[in-house]
Amino acid sequence: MSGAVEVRGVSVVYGGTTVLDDVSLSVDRGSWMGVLGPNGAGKSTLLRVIAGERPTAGAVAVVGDDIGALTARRRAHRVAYLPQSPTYPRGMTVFDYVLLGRTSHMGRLAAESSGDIEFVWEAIRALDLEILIARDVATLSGGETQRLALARAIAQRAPVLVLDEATASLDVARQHQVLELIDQLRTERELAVVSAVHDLTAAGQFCDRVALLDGGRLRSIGTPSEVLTEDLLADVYEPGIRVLTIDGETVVVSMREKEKST
Amino acid sequence: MNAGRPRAARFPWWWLGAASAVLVAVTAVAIGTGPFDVPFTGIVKSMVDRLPFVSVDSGLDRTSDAILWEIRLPRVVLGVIVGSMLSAAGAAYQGVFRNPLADPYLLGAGAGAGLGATLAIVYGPDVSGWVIDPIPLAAFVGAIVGVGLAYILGYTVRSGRTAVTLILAGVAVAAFLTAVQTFVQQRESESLREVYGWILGSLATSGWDQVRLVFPYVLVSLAVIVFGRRLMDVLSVGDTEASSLGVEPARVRGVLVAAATLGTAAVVAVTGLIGFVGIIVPHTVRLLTSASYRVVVPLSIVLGGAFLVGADMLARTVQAPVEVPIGVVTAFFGAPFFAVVLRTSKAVVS
Repeated sequence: MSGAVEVRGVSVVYGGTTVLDDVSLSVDRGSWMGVLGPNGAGKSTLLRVIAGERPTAGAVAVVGDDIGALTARRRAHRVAYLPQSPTYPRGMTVFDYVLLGRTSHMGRLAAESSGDIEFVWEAIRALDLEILIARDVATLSGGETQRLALARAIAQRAPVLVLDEATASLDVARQHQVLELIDQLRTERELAVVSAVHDLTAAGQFCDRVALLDGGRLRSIGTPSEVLTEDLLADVYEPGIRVLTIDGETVVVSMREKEKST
Repeated sequence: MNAGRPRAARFPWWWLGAASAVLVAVTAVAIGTGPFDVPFTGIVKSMVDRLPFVSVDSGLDRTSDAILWEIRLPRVVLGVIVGSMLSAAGAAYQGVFRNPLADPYLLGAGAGAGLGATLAIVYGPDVSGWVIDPIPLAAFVGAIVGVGLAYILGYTVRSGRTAVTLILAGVAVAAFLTAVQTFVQQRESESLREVYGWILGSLATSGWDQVRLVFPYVLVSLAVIVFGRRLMDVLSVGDTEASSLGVEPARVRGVLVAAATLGTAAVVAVTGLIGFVGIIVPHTVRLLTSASYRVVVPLSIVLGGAFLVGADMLARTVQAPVEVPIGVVTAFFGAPFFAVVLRTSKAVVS
C-alpha cells in the first residue's frame, strides 16, 4: 500500500442491505479523488469508512496505517472529515467552532496553544469568515455554515481531507471560490482530497481522478475524461445526460426530454 | 496578523468575579443569620483569630463561638460544597449527553441513593454508638450501584452503545429502583416521615465530619469535570464528529459520568436528594453568559454554591424554628427566578 489513502475490498452491510460492495481505490498525496454517483450509491458510506468507520469487510489504510487500528486522536492527525450535515451547536461562536479542528493537537487536559490559535485564524481568513467570528454558529446561513465547517477541517491540518458534499449549499461563485481554495491547499500542502461531488462539471474541472459508484459498486474509476462519458453517465444517472467540451473544459448537463418540455 | 482569541470568544472573567462576589456575599449573610444573634464584627474577628500567626479578641462568648464554629460555618461550607458539586455534575451530565434536561440523578444515582437510604432507615440496625452511620453509606453505595447498573444495561444493548441507549437504560434502572423504594416505604409506613425527610434533602445535620467526609470525593470529581470541560464542547457536535476530531466519545463520557457520579453520590449520602440545583444553575449560567462548557462549568461551581447556601438560609429561617426541606426551597424560589431568566435572556437553550 503506497497511496495516502488505500481502500481494499471494502464492503459495508447495514441490517442485511449491502451499501458498499467490494470497493477498492487509491488516492495519492497531492491528488484529488472525486466520488460520484446518484443518491444512495454509497458515496457517504465510503467517505465515512475512509474517515474511520469500521467496514463489514475489507480494510482502509491512511498514510500507511490501518485506520481501524488507530486511536481517535491519531486518526484525526491523519484525516480531517467533513460530514454531509455537520452539527452546529447553538451558542458556540464561529471562532470556537473552528478551534474544534485543533482538538487532536491539544494536550488531553490542556488549553489551546498560540500555534493552535494562529492556525484557526489562518483557516478563518482563508474561508473569508473574519466578519463572522463572534456570531453564534446556529444563526449562520447554509452557505456560511458550509464555509465554517470547511474552516474547521482545514484547521485540523491533516494530510487527508475527506469532504462529503462540501459545497452543496454554496452559490455558483462561492462554490468555485471554495473549490479553488481546496485545490490550492491540495497543491501547497500536498493534501490527498477525497470528496463526494454531485456537480459532475465541477468534478471534471477539479478532480485528478473520479470514482463512479452505482448501487454500492464501483462502476468506473479513472481520470474525469475516462469516466465522464455520455454512455456511462446515462446508464448510471438518466438517459438525457450530455457531456460537452467548452473552451477545453468538460461540462456535464442534464437535458430536458423534448416530449415533456412541449 | 491576529493574536489570541477574539473578544466574544474570551473567557468572561468579570462574570466569574461577579459570581465570586455573590458567593462571598451570600455566604457572609448566611453565617450571620440564625435564631441566635451573633454579632457580625465578632464573626469576622473570630475568623481572623483562627488565621495562623494572628491573635484577635473576637468578643464572642463561648455559646456564640460554638454556634459559629460548630453549627453555622460547617453548614454553610457544606452548602457551598454540595451546591457546587450538584451544579457541576448537572453541567457535566448535560454536556456528555447533549441533553438540556439531564441532571445528576439521570442515570439512577438519585433512585439508587433513595433505595439505599430507605433500606438503611427501614431495616438498618440501631445506629447509636456506631462509628459509621449506615444511612449515608447505604445511599452512597446505592447511587454508585444505580449508575453502574444503568451503564451495564446501556452498554450491552444490541442496537449500539450510544448516549441515548445509556439515558434510556438510566430511566429504566431509576424507575425500577424507585418502584422498589416506594414498595419498601409503603410496607414500613412508620418510617415514612424519616424516609420522606431524607428524600427532600437537608443540611440540618451538617457538621465538620460531613464536610470532611464529602470533601475528597468532591475535590476529585470537580477536578475531573473542570479539566474535561473543553471535551464537553467537542462532544456537542455529536459522537461521530467528535470522534473524527480526535476524541473517544464513549471514554470521555465514561470518565465524566464516573466523576460526576462519585461526587453526587458523596453529597447525596450526607444531605439526601436535593433536586433542581443541577438543572437550574448550569442553565442560568448558559442563558446569562455562554453555552461553552469552558464557561458553564466554572461559573456553575461558583454560583451553585451560592444558590444552595442561599436556599438553605431560607429553608432554616422562613418558618423558624421549623426547617422547610431544602428541596422545596430550591424549587419554590429557583423556578420563578429561572422563568424570569428564561423569558428575558436572548440566548436559546439548545
